[in-house]
Amino acid sequence: MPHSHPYRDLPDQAYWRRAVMGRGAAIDPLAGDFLRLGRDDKVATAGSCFAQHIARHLKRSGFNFLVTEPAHPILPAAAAERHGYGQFSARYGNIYTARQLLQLFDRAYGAFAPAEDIWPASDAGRVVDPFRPTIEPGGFASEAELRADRAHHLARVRAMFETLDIFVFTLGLTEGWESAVDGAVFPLCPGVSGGRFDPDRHRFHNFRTAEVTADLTGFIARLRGVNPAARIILTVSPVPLAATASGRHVLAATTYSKSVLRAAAQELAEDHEGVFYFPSYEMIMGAPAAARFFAEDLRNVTEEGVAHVMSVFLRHAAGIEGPTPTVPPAAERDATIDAAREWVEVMCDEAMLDVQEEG
Amino acid sequence: MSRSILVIGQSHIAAIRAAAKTRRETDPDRLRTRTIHTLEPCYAPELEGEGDAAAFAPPLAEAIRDQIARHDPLVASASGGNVHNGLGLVRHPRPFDFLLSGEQGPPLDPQAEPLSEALVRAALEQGMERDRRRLRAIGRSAGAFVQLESPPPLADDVLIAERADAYFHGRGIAHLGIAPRGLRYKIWRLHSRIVADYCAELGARFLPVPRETQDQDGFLLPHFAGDATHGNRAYGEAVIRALEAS
Repeated sequence: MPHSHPYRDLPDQAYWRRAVMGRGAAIDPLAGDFLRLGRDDKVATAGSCFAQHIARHLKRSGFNFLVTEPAHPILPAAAAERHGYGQFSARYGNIYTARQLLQLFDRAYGAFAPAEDIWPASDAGRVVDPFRPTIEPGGFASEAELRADRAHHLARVRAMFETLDIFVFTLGLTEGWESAVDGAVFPLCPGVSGGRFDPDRHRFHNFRTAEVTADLTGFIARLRGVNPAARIILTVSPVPLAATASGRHVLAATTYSKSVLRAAAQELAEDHEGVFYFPSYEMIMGAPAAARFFAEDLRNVTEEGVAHVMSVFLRHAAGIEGPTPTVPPAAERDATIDAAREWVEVMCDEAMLDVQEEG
Repeated sequence: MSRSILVIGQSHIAAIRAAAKTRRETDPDRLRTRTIHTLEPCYAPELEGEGDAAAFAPPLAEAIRDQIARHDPLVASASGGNVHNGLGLVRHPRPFDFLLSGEQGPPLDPQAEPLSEALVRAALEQGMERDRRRLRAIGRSAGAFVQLESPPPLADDVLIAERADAYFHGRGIAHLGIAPRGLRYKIWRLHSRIVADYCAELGARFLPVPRETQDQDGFLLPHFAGDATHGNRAYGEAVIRALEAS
């Protein structure tokens, strides 16, 4: 009679042969408890590029994607998109590192005022927000314009943190550049999109697991300080590093970076109530996918891959089976713009009622 | 100046027509100022073709060519010049404001949502697309021309409310209120910069508003105003003089 042991009666998901072999690329690797997402739950997103896909699918699926910094209705949709509206819940652009997220919170609540907070743009006279260097293409027209925009933005970030029900954060990178003066972390290396790189003022920082865990632990505490019921979903972006400054091969550097983020996400989910890990990274990057969900550059994730991730997400979070449902976006029209267009025509006609001209 | 003047446009030519009529009645021998309103029914459809290929429809193009052939006038355009009012005369339900670059304009309204100048420019440019095509069409039909800056906004909210036409009342100017004067001024200035950029692309000359029609802050003096958004006969006279002096 065989001896009993801990592996004898585990569910299928615990065994590679039963859970992975022969299952194809579209594997569902989520097991155990996961968060329940209601239609009314306000979901906010932040993180790296991959988080933009999550935001887009949540919107399309008819869930309550929270946007506290929407584009003003007078703005043309294309201009709003170019200026970073609608990518995330507020207009912070990509947040690649946990330290960036923590510092965003602290900047929003006045607990951190970085010394280096304005960068010159490549166009003379214009300026860039070092913490959102691509949010205003070409840069802001003046320091006053930037500061006004930033104050508004941070107010909307506070509103997001205080009103969200679920915060989805996609961890993207461990490599970052920071100020040697006060440790302010920039999303892009100074000089890449505004600013000037200065080796005396800027230094490379490749975050370790303990640092990522500590930063996110700090963030969770701060978030719960203003929003005690907030739940958090952590994901790790499967998008590899575009470039590494670590001195290692970019593939090895990517593996390090993603390993750190994946380990930190696991520890945080285990250590904090209401914090969940969602394995989108495994679905895209795992051996079962055999790189099928990557574009030709083996870096960008295909729409098929994103759709698979979101179908698994909605199955577990909302009990929705099958492809991501699509709710057509409501046509957003601004009464002022419509009226202005109409008025221009009306005025042109009315003016003809005025003085008549000779022939 | 020894040339007559032809002004092509829409609603803003009313002031010039009125002034030209007065001139004609008081001094019949004086060189004439004539106008063509591009939206008169006899010229419909005003434009044909899409995008930058758009041109005035044959009846309108022929009318312009006929005037030029008969009088060899200085050609001016009062075309467009309304989009800034459509966007910035009635207070928006979600108040916004912006800073003008390159000049000491009015400060930001602390109660309003700040937008970058680039974004407000994008909103204006979207509304001005037809105006841009009209300018290109004028250049095609008339050759060299002078573009007139549209009249500045009035400074006085009460005066605007009194003179706002039924259309603005229909848009709720009574309960939404009038946009802050600083925003009105800045949107007008930005609108003018965009038109001046169009002119630079087309090789046309941009003629600023006659200074004597403005107060010290750049707003339209009340006695040059026709209604809430247009100049009157006196304004038209000042513009004709500016053209004659140009």
